[in-house]
Amino acid sequence: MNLKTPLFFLALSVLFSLEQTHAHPVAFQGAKSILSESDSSMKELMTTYSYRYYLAPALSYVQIEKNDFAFLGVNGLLKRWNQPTSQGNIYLSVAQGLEFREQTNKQHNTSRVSLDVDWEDRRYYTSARYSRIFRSGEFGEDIELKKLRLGFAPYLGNYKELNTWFIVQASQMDEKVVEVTPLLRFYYQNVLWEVGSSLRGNWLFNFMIHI
Amino acid sequence: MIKSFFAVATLFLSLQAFASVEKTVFVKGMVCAFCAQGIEKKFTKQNEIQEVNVDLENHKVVLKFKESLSLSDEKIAELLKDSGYTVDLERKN
Repeated sequence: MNLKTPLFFLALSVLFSLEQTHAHPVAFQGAKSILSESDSSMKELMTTYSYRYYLAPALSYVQIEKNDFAFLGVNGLLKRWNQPTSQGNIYLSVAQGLEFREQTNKQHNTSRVSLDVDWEDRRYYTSARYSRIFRSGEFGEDIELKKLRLGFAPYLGNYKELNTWFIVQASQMDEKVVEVTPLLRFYYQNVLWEVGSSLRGNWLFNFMIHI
Repeated sequence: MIKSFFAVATLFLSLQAFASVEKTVFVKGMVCAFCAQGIEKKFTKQNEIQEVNVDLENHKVVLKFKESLSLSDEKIAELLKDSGYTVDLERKN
């Protein structure tokens, strides 16, 4: 299989209708990471510790509309293709947690499963995510999130330089309207941040730091 | 005369023995500066390493060792694997 072309991962992306919102959910061995994602539909704060380059326990807090979730789980690298000038990855994340509802002071067990696929070289980037939150029927239906991203680097930044990416993200929560968001991704040393605004005017800000 | 020759030769050999050595390793999958930090962190922790230079453009890492120290190719491959990458054995300087 020739993985120098992104077609394989694009095909997987379409198959699973996914996307990856942030950088890899598992970093290098020993990395402690803090990630936050914020857009019009959800907010998430996650902290991970990469015990191995393929395994990271993760603690996260998620707010979707007026529903709050807390999860404890693991992010795992299922498969990595290291090529001379590119890299492809498949990640699976599973978590168990609680959903809180302020108005009723009730809480219920919940769980989340996410599948991430990405491929990138120094010029092009594509990723996809499918994520599902399983809920108690009393609190509502399961929540399904699909995202797809395509990006390119306008210049090739080297190590310890400011790297910049133009990315277009398409996301859909449940059966709602697909939100298309052009965004800029920057990273400099151990900090990554993304800013964007959807075509409907909804803002996006993501942040990640490796410690 | 002979004494001087041996003195110079000894000095030369001593300098050679303590000169720091570099190794260049080509790395598969090293495309992202944000993710490649793991390589620098991993190697910097090794007692033998004086300096690590990551070159994304050429997909290579240059390891500079402390005086008279080095790491075996196997150890370098293992450290790269722990960082999530693979040594590119097909590429040479």
